[in-house]
Amino acid sequence: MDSNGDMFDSAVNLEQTHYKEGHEEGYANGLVSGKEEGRQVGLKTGFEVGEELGFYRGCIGIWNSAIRVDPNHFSVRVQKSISQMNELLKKYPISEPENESVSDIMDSLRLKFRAICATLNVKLEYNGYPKASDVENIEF
Amino acid sequence: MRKVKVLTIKYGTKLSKNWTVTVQFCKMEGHIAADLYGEALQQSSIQSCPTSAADYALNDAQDNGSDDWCNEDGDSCEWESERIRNQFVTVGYREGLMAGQEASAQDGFNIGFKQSVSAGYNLGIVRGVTGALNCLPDDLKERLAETAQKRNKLKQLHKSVHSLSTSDALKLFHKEQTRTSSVHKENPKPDCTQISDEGVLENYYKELQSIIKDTPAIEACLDMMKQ
Repeated sequence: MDSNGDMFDSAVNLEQTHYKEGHEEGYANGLVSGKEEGRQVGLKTGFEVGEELGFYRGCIGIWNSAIRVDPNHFSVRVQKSISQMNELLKKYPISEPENESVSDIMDSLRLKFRAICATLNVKLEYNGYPKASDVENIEF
Repeated sequence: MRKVKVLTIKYGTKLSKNWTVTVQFCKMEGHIAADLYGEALQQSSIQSCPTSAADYALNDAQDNGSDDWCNEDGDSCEWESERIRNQFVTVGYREGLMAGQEASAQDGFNIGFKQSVSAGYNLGIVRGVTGALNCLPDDLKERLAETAQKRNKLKQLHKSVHSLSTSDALKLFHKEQTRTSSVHKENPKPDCTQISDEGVLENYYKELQSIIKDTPAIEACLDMMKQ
């Protein structure tokens, strides 16, 4: 091995050492800041998802109570939709944000809800309920 | 050259679907590192250590374009090697920072999600119960909530939550969260002056519970609401 090669090697090694030194510290700081950034997004998403699910739960609760005191108040078709929504809501894995079924169940819930509201001719949405156009493209 | 960093967090695993949450950090490549790393520096506990890589990153940025090495007497070679060192440390720091953020963002998302989901859920229940009840015909309303007093309370509650948008509710939630966490830090032992001070959002839910508690026709559906 000649001395030039040695010098070159050591220079490359030194660069790698410097790079590694920076990388390790950056990584450690990135873990902290990335976790916090992610947490902030999670707080918003979790609240919104929870709100929407609780909203459906509350509506279904009242509709079921109404059916109990007056079984003929809603048509058979609407009653069937309500019980289907109820099943979907029970299936929703609310505490598993990474579960792959959440988007499908949420889509079905929204469709059923919209159909029920249209049949009953009521407007129940709140300020912040995802608009039909938002459903296609949610961005933060 | 503009370098855009994209952090992707999954909500559900279908990447191309609606629920994919994307956080974008846009920063100018080669822009002053103080700007790039300013936030990280504030959060970093090692910021006071003069040999930290982030400081090199800062120094490096401040030295960019400066020509004071010409004025120095003789140790420009040493300075040059220091400058090269800083460059490598800076590149390493930047790439490490992104890799670290990428690695922990999903974790943080899941943590935040679980912290807020039940507060949102409870508000949603108040919205749903009072909203759906409000849309029923009067005779059904009367059979579900027998007294005019109850119906009035439920109507008032509906008005209150209906005038509150989700984004305002989120702001309240953030405020309540930072307050409770600071209370915990300052007073590890519960202080009697703080206990009665409930959050606004939580109060909506508690009020609904107290109205429905002795309303058998609706109460039955409340058990089922617990998730």
